[in-house]
This record gives sequence, structure tokens and C-alpha cells, in this order.
Amino acid sequence: MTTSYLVRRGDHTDRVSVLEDRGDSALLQIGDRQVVVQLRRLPDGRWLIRDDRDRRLLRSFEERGELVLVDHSAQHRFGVEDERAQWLRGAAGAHGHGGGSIKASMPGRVVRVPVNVGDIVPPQGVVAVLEAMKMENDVRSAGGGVVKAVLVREGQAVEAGQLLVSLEAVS
Amino acid sequence: MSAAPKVLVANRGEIALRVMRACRELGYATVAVYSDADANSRHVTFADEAVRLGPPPSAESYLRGDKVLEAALATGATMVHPGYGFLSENADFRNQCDAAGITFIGPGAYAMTQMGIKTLARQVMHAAGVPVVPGSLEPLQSVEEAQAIAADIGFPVMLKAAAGGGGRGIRLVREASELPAAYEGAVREAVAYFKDPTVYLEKAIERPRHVEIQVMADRHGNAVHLFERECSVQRRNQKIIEESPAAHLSHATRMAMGEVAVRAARAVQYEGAGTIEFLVDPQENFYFMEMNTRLQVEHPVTELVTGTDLVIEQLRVAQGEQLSWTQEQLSQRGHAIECRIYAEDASRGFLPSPGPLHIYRPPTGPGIRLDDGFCEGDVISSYYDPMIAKLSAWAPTRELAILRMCAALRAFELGGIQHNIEHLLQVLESQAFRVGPYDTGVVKLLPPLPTEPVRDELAVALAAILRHRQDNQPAAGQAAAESEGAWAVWARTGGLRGR
Repeated sequence: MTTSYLVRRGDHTDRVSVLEDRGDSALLQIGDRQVVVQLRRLPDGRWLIRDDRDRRLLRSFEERGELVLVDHSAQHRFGVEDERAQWLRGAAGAHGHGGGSIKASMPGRVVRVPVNVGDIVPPQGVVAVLEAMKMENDVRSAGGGVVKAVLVREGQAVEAGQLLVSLEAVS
Repeated sequence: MSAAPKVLVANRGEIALRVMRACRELGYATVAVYSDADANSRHVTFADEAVRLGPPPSAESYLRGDKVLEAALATGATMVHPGYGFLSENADFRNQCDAAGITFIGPGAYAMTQMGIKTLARQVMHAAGVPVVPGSLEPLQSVEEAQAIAADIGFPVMLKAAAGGGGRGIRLVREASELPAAYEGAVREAVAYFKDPTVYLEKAIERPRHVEIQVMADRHGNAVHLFERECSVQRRNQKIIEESPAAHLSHATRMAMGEVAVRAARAVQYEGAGTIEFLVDPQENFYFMEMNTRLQVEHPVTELVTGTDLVIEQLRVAQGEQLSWTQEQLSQRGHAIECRIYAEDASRGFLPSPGPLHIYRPPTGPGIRLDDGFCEGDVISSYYDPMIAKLSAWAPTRELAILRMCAALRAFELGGIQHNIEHLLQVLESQAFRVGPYDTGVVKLLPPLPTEPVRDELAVALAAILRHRQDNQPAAGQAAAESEGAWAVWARTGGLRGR
């Protein structure tokens, strides 16, 4: 059976099936089109991929669960998911609005935490201010909620992905 | 003073490497200093010796003059090169070096102090016959005084921190009603950033260009200028692209500015490399803005068009030698442009984007110069300035230099962190920059960059193929025997980085 992948980049997702992989060429179904590509890995680690119109030299690496392909200065950051995995996730049901954990998107230092446990944060409300590279950046909660826990202190250094504040959805 | 020269470089990143390379060329031993965040960085591995300063924050490492001095004494360094930023314009540190018998590569404490306090600098320059922007020569005492002076010279005006620099502590005031709040804000910011509440006021020059003159002076009374650098391409008061010569500056103005800059340097008994920054209005009136008493980030463009090495000249002059050139021997040849490549997300409000440099393959080619301090696999730390590299291009004409720079930027392979290359290309390809004349508002004229990059079908195809091969790994051997197994590449990203 051919597996289909959902290749997501930003807001756009392509459904792609690899119908045949011969190593130096492959037949794919991208959306409703069939595409033949030739590909080769160069000694310096790059992938040379071409179709009948175009060619790319791309390097790949994986970061935070995403596949990143670099075409010189341009980065293509893909989430590639097995279509079946998404069905399973979909069955578990979507989350309600608001609440959730707010994490640091980059390493830095906590300048301020303007919220306390029990505070109500509006959607897009600031829950922390992080300093990174000599700049202060607001950390916001997308959906807002009630502050359940504040997990960092002012002045504390944090890593990317570290939990800062957790919120509960407003009922 | 007969000891073999040994230079401690009190800095990090590209400028530390730049200085150490010059030292090595001359056969001088080098000492690096580093914070814990930089223990394995290139400037540390390049140096002959390296001394740890402390934890990552600058205040506990690169700004600790006492520790830097200790390191110099412990390693027997005869000279300290401060680079730019950190301790480079710190007169106390300069004095401590003198007291310890270590040569500080830079101007004397007198020049540093005179130029470091902006109100004092304005007075000294005014007295030396250097045109300054109309405004207050003395620090402002009150908001009432600010109102009176502003009414006299006319709005709009700028409020600036006397101890300021780097674009911080500056406020534009368009009309009298805005002044009280702006005054309070400027004082607050001045205290927060520079621990000095002194502010002053200047007339805001409309559509100004930021053009600076490189000077070099020795202790024997010789002083020359090395022409101008056009630095009007700025984003939030930070320079991002510099060029020399300035594209639309008459030769007469250029030479007049150079002459004034030399006069300014002499007025403070300057020694070493320095830069006089001017504001130039559309009629080519120019006004002294400030003097940077150090090597400038953008010094490569001057080196490329004048055929000089400013760091080697700094090292010579600091040891008491005479300048290598007279004014008549200096000239500009061709055109040079420098782009500052920053780890920031240009499509999302230029948020800093620290992180690992998974892919870092800079371009090369005729007329391309790279000043950098990182290699593939290094991490861009959130503790310091987000600059990754300075890419410079030299060509016989401005037009060719722009084309060369664009081609080099497009060939820069950079992955992991977000960066501003698309934004730099947007500026270089804009009509405003190409045709000019442009002023410091040029970046604001550009439309915002698209947040969603264009969909690339070949990249989508490769992403799916790589994932497919990962999922079918046992079979992949037959599929890509010659290319050593496709999934190996995917899994072992380290193999892509280290080479």
C-alpha cells in the first residue's frame, strides 16, 4: 500500500504519495498531479533534485521534529506527517479555546512576568517579557485564560521550549 | 618595551578574529578571552592562548575590565585590542591599562572622554570650527529650557542621551505639545541604558543621510582621513548596509568633510583609528553627529576601496610608529558594499532568532570578503549581538558591486536560524537604493516581506521522498546504494555539519 504524507509548510499543506522510488528517480503524486523527479546526493551532502522544468540544490536537516531543506539562503521548513497519524489525532478531538502552556520560543532571560496565579489573561495578552539579544520581546497567550501556574522568576535564564506560564481555559 | 608583541583581544566573534588575523600576519602572539557561552568558538580556537572571563552575560564577562586586565597580566600580553563595543570606549579601562603598563590600542582617555559625552563633544567640535547640528550645547536643565531652545531652532527636534550611542536614547519630537512627555521618556531611557540622566536637544535634519569619515592619526601629529562611508541604510537606527564611496555625494563635499574630520581628530589629540559621523541634508550641508573612538564594524568597505589594512595600522600606531601614508597617497578605487547578516526573523518583525547554525556555507569569489566568527554547528547565542557575519563586495563600479553582492547573498547557504538575507536583497534590488539618492528613510519605503515564502514543489517532493525512505529504511539500501543510504543523511545531521 502506498503511504500518503501530509507535507505542511506554514499554512499550506500538500498531500504527497511516493508511488515509486528508484533511488535516482521517483514518481510522486502531489495533490492531483503526477510528477517525476530525478535526484542525486552530491559528495558534499547536498541533494540535487530536478524535474523537466527546474532544479534545486538542497541540504537537509531535522530540527524540533521538522524537516528543513535549505536552498542557499532560503529555508523550507516542513512538517511531514503520515496521513494515518493525522486521522488518529483527529479522532482524539480538538482542544477548546484558550488555556494551555506558554513556552519560551527562544533562549533568553525573563525580564518581567506581569501575571499572577488566578489572573485572567485576555486573548493575545502578555504573560511574560523575555530579553534575548539585547531586545525585549513580549510573550503572549494566543487564546488567553486563567493563570494556573507561573513557572519562572524575573531574572531567570530560560531555554527555548521551557515552560513559562500555564493557563486554564476560561469556562 | 622590547618584549615581543603579544596582543590580547578583548572581544568575541568576527572582530576578535579579524584582529587576531592581523596579529598573526605580523607574527604577534594572540590571547583570546571568552565567556562560558563562547568556550568553543572560533576566536578561542584561533588564538595562541585563551583565558576564561566568566559566565555568559556580558556584564559578567566581556565588560569586566578587571578580569580582562588580569588575563593580560597573567599571559604577559603587551597590548590589548578592544575591538568595538564592550570596553572599546571605556576611558577607565584605558587608564587601568596604562597604569598596568599595557598598551591599549586606541585613543587616549582624554579623546575618549571628550567624545564619549555627547554634549561635551558638541562643544569641543563647535569650538574647533566643526559644524554641529543646531541645538543645545549644554546639557538641558529642564523641560522649560528644552521648550525655549526648540522654539528658537524650530520643530521637529531630537532629544538625545548625552551618554548615548548605538541608536539608543533618541526621541523625535514633532511639535511643542509632545515635548514634555518626550523629555521625561528620554531622561528615563538615558538612566536605564546609560545610568546618566543628561539629555540634550538638536534640530531634526529632514531626510538626513548618515555619512561618516574614517580617520587615522599617530602620536607624532600626523592625521589623515580615508574618505567616507555611506551608512544611511538603517533599520531602527541600526546600520545594515554600508558603502564607499557614497553614491550621490559631490567630490567637493567629500573632501570638505574629510578636512573637517581631520580637524575634529586633531582637536582632541586623537590617536589611532576613529570615525566622525555626520548628518548630511539634501543640500549637502553636513553636521557633526558624533565621533566613534574605535574601529568601526563597517571598516572593511574603507579597506577595500583604499587598499589599506586599518587593524595593522592600529597596531603600528599604538607602538609609536608614524602613519604609513600621507593624505596625498590615499585615494578611492572602485566601489565596496558591506551587508550585515543578522540572526533575526525578517518576515516576523525582525525578532532575534538565536539557535544552532545547522548549515553555514558562505559564498566566495572574486571581490568577495567575509568577516565572520562562526562555523557550521556553532550556536548563535542569545546573550550577544545577533550579527552572524559581514559580507563585503568590491567591484570597479557601484553597479557591479551591487550585482556582485546580490549574487553572493543568494549563494549564501544558511540554515537553522532565521536571517535577514531576503531583506538585504530587497534593499539592494530596490529602485531607491539602486538609483538614489537615498536617505535614512530608505528601508521604511520598502513593502513588508511576505511571511509565507513561495511554495516550492521540488522541495515538497524531496521532503516526501526523504520521509518515505526513512519509513522504508530496510529497503532503502537497494534504492540508493550509490548515495550511501538516503536515510543516513536524514538521521545523521551531524555528518552534514562537520566536515
